[in-house]
This record gives sequence, C-alpha cells and structure tokens, in this order.
Amino acid sequence: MSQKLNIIVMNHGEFGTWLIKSAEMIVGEIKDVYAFSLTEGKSIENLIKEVTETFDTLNGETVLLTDMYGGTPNNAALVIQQKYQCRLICGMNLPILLELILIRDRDDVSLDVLIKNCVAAGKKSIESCISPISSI
Amino acid sequence: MLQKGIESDGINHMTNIVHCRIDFRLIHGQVVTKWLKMKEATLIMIIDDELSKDEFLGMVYKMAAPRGYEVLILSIEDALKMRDSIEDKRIFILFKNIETASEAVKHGFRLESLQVGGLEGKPGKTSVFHHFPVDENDCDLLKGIENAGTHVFFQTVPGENEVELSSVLQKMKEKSK
Repeated sequence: MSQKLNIIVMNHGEFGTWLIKSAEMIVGEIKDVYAFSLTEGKSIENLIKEVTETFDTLNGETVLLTDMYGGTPNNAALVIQQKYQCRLICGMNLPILLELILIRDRDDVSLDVLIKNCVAAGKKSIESCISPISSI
Repeated sequence: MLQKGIESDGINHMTNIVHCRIDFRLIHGQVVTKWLKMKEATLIMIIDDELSKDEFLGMVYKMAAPRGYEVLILSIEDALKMRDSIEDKRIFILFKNIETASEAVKHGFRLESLQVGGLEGKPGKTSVFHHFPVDENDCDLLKGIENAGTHVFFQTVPGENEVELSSVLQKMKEKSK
C-alpha cells in the first residue's frame, strides 16, 4: 500500500496483546499496531471510547481486527466503523496478523486486495491435521 | 405504581416470556446464544429506553444476534404497549442493567424469574462473588424486584450454579462488617 496501514486489535481479554507478541517472535518488532482489551466489567461504550481516542491520533488507513463476530469487541468495532473510515476483519488469528504485517508495505498491493488476501490466508490456515500413525 | 397510559390492571400480559436476563453486554458472543437455544426462544426483546432511541447502536445489536431470531429494541413504555400483540412467540427479554429491570417491574412488568447474567464494573461497586459488581443501591433494587414476586438469581452461563439473591445479600452484609 502507498499509505501507512495502522492495525487496531480488539479482543476479549489480553488475546490481542499476546497475539502481537507472538507475531513479533516471528517477524520482529511491529510498528503501528495497537491492542485493546475488553476486560471483565468493561462496557462496550468504554471500549469504543478507548479505541476512538487512539484512532483520532492516527494517520493513514486503519484495519480493525477482532476475535469473533457477535462478541462485544466486534460490536464495538462495528460502531467505530460507522464513524471512521476503516476495514474490519473478525475472527483474527496469527496467520491473518502476519499476512497484514508482511504485505502492508508492498506498493503493488491495494488495501482492497490486502484485506481479501488476509481473510483468505486466515481461512486457509485452519485445518485438522491427519496423524500419520493413527489416520485421525 | 401505575404509569399514566398503562391499562388499569397494570398487569403484564406477555405470558410467553421464556427467559429474562440482565446483561450489560446484551446480545454478545456465544453466551446469549446458549441461553437462547436452551430456552427455545424465537424473539429477543431488549427493553431499554436509551437504546430504543439509538438507531445505530440498536442496529449493531440486531446484527450481532444469531440468525433466526427476531430482535426488538423497545422502550419500557412500548414494551408494555406491545404486550398483547405478540402472539406465538417465545420471548427472551434482555435488560442492560438492574435499574431498567427495576423500572420495568415498577411500571407493571410481571416477571416469573430474572437472571442476573452480567453487570458492569463501576467505581463503588464490589464483587461479592465471581464477577458481579454490585452496590447497596443495586441490592435494594433487586430486593424490590423480588418483593414484587420475581425469583431473582445470578448466573452467567448454563451449567454454572444459580446463586440466589439471598446469598448475595448475605455476602454483602458480611463484607460491610
């Protein structure tokens, strides 16, 4: 992408914070990524407020990553998406995050293509592995 | 305590309420889906004056609902007005907080039981068990609901034990000593 892509991660608990650390084990330090946690007792309104406070400081494009559709972090993300221009991928996993980080700086890839590829990468990454010994 | 505009008997006629829950996250994730399935609900009714006026956030909650359920978001007054026109539905009522549930009961809602499923943490509130932050005012409101004939208990997910309001009140008393 020609513009900077910020990544905002919103999840139940500290999943996002730790997912980012896991990704950093693989690709090194990651910039322009922000994690927000829905903790016990935190309301959707407070989560939205926290995220929008950061959003207001950002330049460039932004993608929101959430853990699952229907959960409060994703409900919050949907509200944010109405007020701010951004993309949203729910059901985030490590392969999606890595794909975003590795491809976002390529000038030949547009944001649309990037998002599409990340969703595909995420889906493709899920499978049940057959054991060579027991064929399960 | 009848509100102006409600019929004189002040009784809630929605006899097909299959479940009633307080959850500050309303429709979220798999928790509510599990309850909906267990109770075989067909209609989700969120009763909340503020939310009934917030078109956008209301839409978000409707989108969050699992497929196959009708979702209505109504003010207390409208929910009471609609009570006789909802037939052939198994209604799952959701309140965002104890205050709204208490207001609904005061305005004539008769609930057989009320499950406290999720409460917002706020300064001044303490969790007497699991994660249910409450203060004196919450306890008084819940006592009021129970006195109106509703069985009040605390439970987040199916499979967890139901904790009676009396236990929670007892623990609050002990903590304040």
